[in-house]
Amino acid sequence: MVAKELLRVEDLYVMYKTDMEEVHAVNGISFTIREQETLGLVGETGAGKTSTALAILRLLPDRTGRIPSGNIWFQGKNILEMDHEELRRLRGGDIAMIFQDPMTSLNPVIPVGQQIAEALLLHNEEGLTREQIEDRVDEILELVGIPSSRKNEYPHQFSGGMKQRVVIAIALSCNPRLLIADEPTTALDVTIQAQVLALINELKEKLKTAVLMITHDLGIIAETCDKVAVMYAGEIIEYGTVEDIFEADKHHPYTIGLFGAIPKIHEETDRLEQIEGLMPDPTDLPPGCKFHPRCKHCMPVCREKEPPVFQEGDHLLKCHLFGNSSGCERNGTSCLSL
Amino acid sequence: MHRYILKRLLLVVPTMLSVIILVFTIMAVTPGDPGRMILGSSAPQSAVDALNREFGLHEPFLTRLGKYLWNVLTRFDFGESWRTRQSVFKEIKVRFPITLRLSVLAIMGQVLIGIPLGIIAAVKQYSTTDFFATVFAMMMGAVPGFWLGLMLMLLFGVKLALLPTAGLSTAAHYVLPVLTMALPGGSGLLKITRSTMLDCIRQDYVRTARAKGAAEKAVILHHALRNALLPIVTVVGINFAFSLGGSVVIENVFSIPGIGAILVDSIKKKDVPQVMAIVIIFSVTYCLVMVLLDIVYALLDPRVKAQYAEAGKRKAKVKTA
Repeated sequence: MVAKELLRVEDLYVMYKTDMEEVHAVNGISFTIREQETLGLVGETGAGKTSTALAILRLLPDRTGRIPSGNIWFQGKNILEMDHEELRRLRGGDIAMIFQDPMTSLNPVIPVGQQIAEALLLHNEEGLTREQIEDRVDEILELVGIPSSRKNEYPHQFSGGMKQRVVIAIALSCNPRLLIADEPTTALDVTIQAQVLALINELKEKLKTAVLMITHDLGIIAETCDKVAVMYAGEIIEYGTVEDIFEADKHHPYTIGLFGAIPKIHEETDRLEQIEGLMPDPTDLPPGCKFHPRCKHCMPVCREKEPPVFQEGDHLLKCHLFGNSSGCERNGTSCLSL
Repeated sequence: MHRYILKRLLLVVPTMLSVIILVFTIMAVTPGDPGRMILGSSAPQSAVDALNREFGLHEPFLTRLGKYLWNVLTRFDFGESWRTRQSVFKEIKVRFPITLRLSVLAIMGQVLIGIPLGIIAAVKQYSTTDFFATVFAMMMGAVPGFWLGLMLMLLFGVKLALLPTAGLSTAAHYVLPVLTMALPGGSGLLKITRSTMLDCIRQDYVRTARAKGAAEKAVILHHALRNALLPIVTVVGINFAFSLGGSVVIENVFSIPGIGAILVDSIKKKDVPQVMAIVIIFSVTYCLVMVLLDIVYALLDPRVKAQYAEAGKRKAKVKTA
């Protein structure tokens, strides 16, 4: 049985506009997340992963961030057309977010227990009393592995990993349908990373939450995700199940490059393979395939035409190497999820 | 924490000693003959000399300073005014409360003008409101206090005849002097509030609050403002201390019988005991305001409180070791 669709992003564009320049952060991406499914969004820094996440919650910076076109459907409603009150209920209630840096994402002058209680109070649909909320705070803290006796302490009294647990506790306090985890482990050291990931996995099962896992770490993808979308320069260039991405024969050259940059345990190498060059300047994206300046397999057509989508089962690739098997138009929303 | 406050209060003592020595020295090395000032230019030289002798001016500087400090420290005796021959506190008792009241009102005015406008300017950065608030702040910051006082007097007192311009007999009398003191200080407060708020509303924890679903007002007032308060409170404290001393000019402009007027007069007449007493009152108030600021910091920011407690613990450890 296929689970119900929870979130559908359609042809989303995100742009940052300042007096000096226009930054094209996200350029027409589409994907869906079904209930209880975990989608991984991978890519280098600057690929537009966080911009996508912020756009879903409409948290892009006021003055500069714009969404010129696209739709974000959540349980049948378009988030981009919601008013303040609907957005307020959505944020933290239906969709919660874990931010990248636990050091700065907690308010330094408010005790952690209160910061969790605030989320509960804001989405108090069951009409809980103050005591019930306090009990719930204790419960959530214990759930993420923090003794509830520490709830009156301030963020500076916690270590980085503990702070991230508090951030996770805030995000999960209202049983969201979708959890957006924006590089939840990047700021943590490796042992803590494993704990935090295990925690997210465990809670995901327990609370039946769908997750959008944003990361640049393919190891995390392998460990937590059902589906994977590889982003490059604001586009999804490959999409599929974890098996497709890790085991299929056909890959986008960029994905191959990403895998090449992971050290292999059975091979001896002096240097890791890297993808030559840098991500294109988002204020001045190249024509055609955005990856062509760095691609080893670059053909003349790559410089002129945007690649079509090649599809094999659920596995979607956006590259001229594979041609256009399904015959759909570029960026067309008819191309299933891409 | 208590240990820290006690320590800060004890530090007031050496500060006061330094202030006394410094001001006493300045009064001693600046030119002027107190006896001549009091008796007038037509008095015979012998009478002037006798009077100066009575004030103890024939003794060497260090002896005079030593005697003054001895009297102050052992008997809490600040002497008599050389002009009025009465206790230096007689006039201070009447006049200092007036100055204090003006300053407190001015600070309240500053807070009411500066903080809300600063918050609005930050939240609506680059809007028309922000533009006018910033221009207002720049104007008020650039204008000298006495000129602003005179202009307000001219406009509201003379042209519109709405408000009285001299003295302090009714509540209406307070409006112009308080405004004159509140506007420039308020503009500084506006600027610091705007810039710290701008800084705070871009912090990650503010985004976390929004992502929790907090309403915009709660995000600004509960999450951003609490973090922005530290520098704002500092400016309020400094402005308060400054307005005590700065009231000297405003009191002159509005003919207010505050402490500023006698301070200026005493300096001109070289009435050393009176000058010393007033300066000491100012400095003690200033020091107490600073201690109060430190306590407020701890109440506002748990990290500062932790630091104070830590400092206290370290001290205790050193003692037991």
